[in-house]
Amino acid sequence: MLSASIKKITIVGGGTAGWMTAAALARFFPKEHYQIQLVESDAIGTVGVGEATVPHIRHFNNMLGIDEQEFIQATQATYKLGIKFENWGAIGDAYIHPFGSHGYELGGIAFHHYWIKLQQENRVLPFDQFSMAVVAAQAGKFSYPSSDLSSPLSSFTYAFHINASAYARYLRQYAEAKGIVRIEGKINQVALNNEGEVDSLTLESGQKIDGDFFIDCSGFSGLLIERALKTGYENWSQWLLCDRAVAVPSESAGTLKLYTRSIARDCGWQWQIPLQNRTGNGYVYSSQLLSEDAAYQTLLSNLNGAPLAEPNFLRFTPGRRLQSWNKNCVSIGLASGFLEPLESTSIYLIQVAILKLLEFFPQTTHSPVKQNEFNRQIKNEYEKIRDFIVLHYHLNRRTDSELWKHCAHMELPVELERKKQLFYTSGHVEKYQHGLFMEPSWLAVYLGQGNAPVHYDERVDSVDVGSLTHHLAGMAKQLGQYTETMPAINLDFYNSPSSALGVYQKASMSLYGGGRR
Amino acid sequence: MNSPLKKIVVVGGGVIAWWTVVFLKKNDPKLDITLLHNTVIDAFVETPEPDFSYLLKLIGFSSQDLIKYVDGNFCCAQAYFGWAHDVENYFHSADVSNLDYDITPYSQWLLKLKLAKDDVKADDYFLASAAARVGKITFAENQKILSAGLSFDVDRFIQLLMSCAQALNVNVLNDELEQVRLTATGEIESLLTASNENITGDFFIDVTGSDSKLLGSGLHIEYDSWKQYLPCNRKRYLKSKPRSERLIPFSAVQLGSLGWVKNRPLRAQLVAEFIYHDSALAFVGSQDATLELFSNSKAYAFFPGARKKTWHKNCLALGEAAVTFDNFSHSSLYVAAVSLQRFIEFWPNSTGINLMDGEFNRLMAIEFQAIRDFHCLHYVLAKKADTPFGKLLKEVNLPESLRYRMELFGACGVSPADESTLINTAQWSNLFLGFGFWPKTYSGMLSHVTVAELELWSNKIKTNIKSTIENSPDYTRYMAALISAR
Repeated sequence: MLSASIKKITIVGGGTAGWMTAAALARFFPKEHYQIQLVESDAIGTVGVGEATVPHIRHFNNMLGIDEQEFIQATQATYKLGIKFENWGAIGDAYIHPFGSHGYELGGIAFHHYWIKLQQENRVLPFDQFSMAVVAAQAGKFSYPSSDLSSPLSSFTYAFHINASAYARYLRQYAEAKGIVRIEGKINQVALNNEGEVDSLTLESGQKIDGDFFIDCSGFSGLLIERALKTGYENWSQWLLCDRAVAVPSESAGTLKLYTRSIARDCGWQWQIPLQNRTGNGYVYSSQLLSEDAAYQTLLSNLNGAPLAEPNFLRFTPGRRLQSWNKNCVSIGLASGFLEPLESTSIYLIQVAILKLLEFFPQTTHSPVKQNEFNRQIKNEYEKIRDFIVLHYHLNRRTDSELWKHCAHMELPVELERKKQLFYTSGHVEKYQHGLFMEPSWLAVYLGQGNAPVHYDERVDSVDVGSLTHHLAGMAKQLGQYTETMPAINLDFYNSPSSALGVYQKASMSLYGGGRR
Repeated sequence: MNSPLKKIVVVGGGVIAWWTVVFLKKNDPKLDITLLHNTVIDAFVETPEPDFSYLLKLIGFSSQDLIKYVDGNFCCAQAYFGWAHDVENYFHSADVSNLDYDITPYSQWLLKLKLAKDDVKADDYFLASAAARVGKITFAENQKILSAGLSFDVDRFIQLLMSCAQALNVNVLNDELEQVRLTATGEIESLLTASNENITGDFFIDVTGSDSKLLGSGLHIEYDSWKQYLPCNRKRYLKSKPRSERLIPFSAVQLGSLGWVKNRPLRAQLVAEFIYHDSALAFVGSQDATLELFSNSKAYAFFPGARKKTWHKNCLALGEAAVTFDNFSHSSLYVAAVSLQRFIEFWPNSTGINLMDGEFNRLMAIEFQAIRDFHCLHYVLAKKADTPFGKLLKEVNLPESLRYRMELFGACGVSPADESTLINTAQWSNLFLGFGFWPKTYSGMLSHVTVAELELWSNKIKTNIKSTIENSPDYTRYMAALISAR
């Protein structure tokens, strides 16, 4: 069987990951060459991951030729410009991590160095007030980013809050219309061949399902990648203490926010995701510190509207599969690893795995070079996001609970420790090319919730403080003026079919938009 | 500035030393800068990358100035003759425009097309090189030259920098370095000169060439040799009059039987450079035309490699004191200028010096490794003829990072997801394909794309290039107009 050519692809699991994968394969793989099937069971619930997304989802939709307005209607989506973190640095603190940059370079020196200097003298607004996305989001205003790179309106981009189950349903229709075959049934048994590759699946009904290549989207259970192939899992609980979540939707209340809320609590944090017709809520916590019931009560007492359903309790182990691609099986989504949804990365991680799978799709079952690079790149994506999430927990000055005290003093992953040291001794953010979160995001968190660094690029000292203060005040004021020109976003806005926004632009794989850096 | 660095001492005598003092002073006029000018290095020609124009601007010059005053000439491509197996010549474009089909990169869709069609050539799709081939020059929309390097006369550029340094009040001391004096904590305290002057400073920049008198001999930072990857160690230069009145907007490298020759046309002269291994001298008196041609030129030794760190304590090394490679692509001035600019970004503050040098060295090591691998790839992919040089090339070792890159590109036309460097993915792909190293498979995203669709896409790009070139000016006439313009 070594190097058999691949004709039949079997996807296991039909949640967000399964149908995103199926839709992408349907889009790019011609029916004449590939037979693609997806096995799922109506009896097994899906987690429905990724209600809050990052801007890359637009790129995925673009790639599939999905119209954005149709997508918004189908998934009850709302626009999203960032995430508001409350109580993270200290109780009472708040900042928004935007999908955009802050300020712009002056005299060849990055904006934040000037900001740090003025902040030390208490002469400047909070860092996030220099982000177009933040100022607009706080005012409840939104417009499509501008392509004029000299305008502040080019300095951001946007994502959505969506009903992920509705998105999966929408993609199922898309995929089935393009010839993907859905097979209903629970998988009873997975058979391996002599090379230890996945050979076939047997359903409870006795039906046998084969395939040359398998994609495991079975969620936490990792039906193929772990239970059958015993790939192994790297556990990251030493840095990420939360291992439980309870989720419940509630009635919408108040105005629709243009950002996700992440509110730090004693034993974890709570999310609030505004959709058109309801709010998604959840509490991510550590089972060592809190019981299931207490967590649910905490969540209930912090809802903005009445609960709309029974709670959904989730258990997870933060970490990643040692090899996302093992033998003739690639795992995508929760089967490949778990990182808590603090930075809305679940759908992104699915998307990036799909893109790389398409890029490295093997012609034959034995393709060690492609497999190796695929695994290397996926590992990098997970680790970079892990470090960024760990940073949120670590940079806190809270002394009110065990969780926060522990996180403030824990030993960090080596790479993260190096990044942190560099920042606090020089104001420099370590640069890297591959990974989701780049300099603007690291700055948002460092300067949004950490202690301000003592050091910055000392070339800044040659600028007169008075005129610098004046200049930065002008920059912030300008963002306010631009905000005035943007339409206000409320529920009616989504209901009226003719949008005041004009035509949306082609999406890119960027978290920050194009210009004004 | 509260910076602890007030007085900087630069040691060296070549173009990089002069560039350094001017660049530092322009960046912060309050700095006290001394140039201990000793080693006089013979200088010929440099061809920095297109991005150099940005650095030039920071010291108050434009590409046009260099064209006017230092015999500057655009370099829109590098032509390779005799290197690849089944390609007669290949023009590596300075322009790396985005040629993605939907979201699949050029290296992938071109492969699919090539598997179906025989006449696919890797270098047909780049505007700058296509125009250069026919003696024309093209423009971007904003009327700036579309990504071109610039070759110029280094001696004359030094004169320009010298007068600049003088106007900026740089202290220039013509003296020999006798001794590097260290403090108890191992930093450079002062430099003692032959005429017994003791020069103190807060920070020292070593531009003393391969001797590396400060970082190497003074601070004992070791040098990693790359001779197993880059086999040449000698070079000779030859200046001549241009062969025709027509200006040539590209450089050319020709593989020979004892080494290789790089020809760089300026406007008023042609500089040829012969790069070889010293064992080639065993063939003196043979009928080798190249050796004959360069027989009266002085031979300069060079030692490919890089220092383990280029910033240590209060000393930074630039130029050959830091890194040496044979110059297929990257000019040593450009690499030094980029290093210096990065150093300024990491300008030591009151306490952060040790962490800052760590990050700087980490980034530069990544950069140097990429340049080494890019150069090594030329030798690895080169035709190994039955010549002395061909035999030498067979002995070239493959660095692990390059081995992995070749394996991956060979399998699917993809570059490893590594840190970003001066050499981007498109440049790697272009070199691979230009030298005839095609991947075995293409991206799954092309499964649904037909060959006919790709042919249309390919023809669209070629037609665009053709019509753009038709509407572009003749290079020689364009340059004449540029020079006579104010």
